[in-house]
Amino acid sequence: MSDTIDYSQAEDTELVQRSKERDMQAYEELVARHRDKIYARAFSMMRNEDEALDISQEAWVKGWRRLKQFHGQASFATWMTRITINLCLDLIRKKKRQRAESIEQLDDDLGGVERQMDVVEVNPTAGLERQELREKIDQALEQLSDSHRTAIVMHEFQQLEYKEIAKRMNCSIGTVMSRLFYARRRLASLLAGLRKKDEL
Amino acid sequence: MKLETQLSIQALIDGELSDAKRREVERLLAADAGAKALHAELANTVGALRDGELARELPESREFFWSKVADEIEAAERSEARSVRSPGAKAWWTRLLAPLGAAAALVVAFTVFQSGGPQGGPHVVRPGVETVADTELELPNSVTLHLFQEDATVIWVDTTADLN
Repeated sequence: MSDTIDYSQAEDTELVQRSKERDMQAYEELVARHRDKIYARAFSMMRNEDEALDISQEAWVKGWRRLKQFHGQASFATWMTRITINLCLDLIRKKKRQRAESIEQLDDDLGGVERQMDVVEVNPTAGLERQELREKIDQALEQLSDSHRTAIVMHEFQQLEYKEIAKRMNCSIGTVMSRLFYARRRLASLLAGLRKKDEL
Repeated sequence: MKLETQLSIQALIDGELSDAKRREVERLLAADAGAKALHAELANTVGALRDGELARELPESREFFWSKVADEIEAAERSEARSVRSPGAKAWWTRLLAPLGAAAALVVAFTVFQSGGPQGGPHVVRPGVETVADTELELPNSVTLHLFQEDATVIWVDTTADLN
C-alpha cells in the first residue's frame, strides 16, 4: 500500500479497497464524502436530528465492520444508504414496540380513507423550482406516519421495488402497494394545501 | 372504483405490471375519466418525488463526527477481540478440567482403597458420616462410625468374615 496516495483525489472504489485493508484514513475520506447523504436519508425517515445523527454514526461503524461483504454490485453510497435504512427500520420497529403498536399494522386499517379522497386535478408542484419543491415535499413528508413515509423513501428515494420493500418492512407486497398508494394520495393533497397557503 | 383497480393504476406507473395487465389498465384509462384523473394525480406526485429529497448537512464538523465514528470502531473491535479471545481461554481451562478431575478421582479412589475397609475392602465415607476409628471396640472385622448429624454411633460388623 502506497503512503503517497492523495485520499481526497482517490476514487471511491480505491478508498473502499484500502478500507478493506484496514486503512482508516481511506475510510475517513469515504465518511467525509458521503456523510451528508447518509444523514439526510436517516433524517428523511426518522424526522429527528438526534436520531438521524445516532443512526448515521452507527451506520458508518457498521459499514466499516461489514466492508468485506461489499462486493461493488451497487455503489458504495447506495450500499451505505441500505445499511442506514435498515437501522432506521430497526429503530422505528423498536419505537412501535415501545408504544405497543405494530409497524405492520400501523395505518393500514384506515377503512380506505385514501379511496375517498378527491383527486387533486391541478398539479400542485407545477412551476416550482427544484429546491422549493424539495422543501415542500419535505414539509409534506413530515405529516406522514412512519410506515407511509418509509414506503415512500424506499420506493422513491432508494428506488426499491415492491418486493424488496416488502422484504425489508416485513410485510406483504399488497401492504406495500396500499401504503404507497395512501402516502402518494396524502402527499398530493398536502402539496395542494401548501400551494394554496402560499397563494393566499 | 375498486381498490384493486386503483392499485393497478399505481402499479402501471411503477412499472410493476405484466404486459397483459398493463394493456388491460391502459384500456381502462382510455375509457374511464375517473381512472385517468387518478393516474394523472399519482403520476404528478411520483414525478415531484423523483429527485425530491431535501439535501441536508450533517450538523457536526468533519473532525468531530469522524472522531466519534473512529472511537466507536475501535471500541467495537476491542470488544470483538475480547470475545474472540475469551472462548479460547475458556477452552484452555475446560481442557484442563477433565484430566485434572479424572486424576483427582483416581487419587481419591486409590487412597480409599489403600486405607482399606474390613479385610482390606473398600471403605466408603458418605457426607455427614465420619469414621471414628476402625475396630474402636476392638471387635475384629468391624468399623465404628459416628453420625454427627444424628449424634449417633454405628458399629458395622462384617458377619461374612471369619471371626476366628
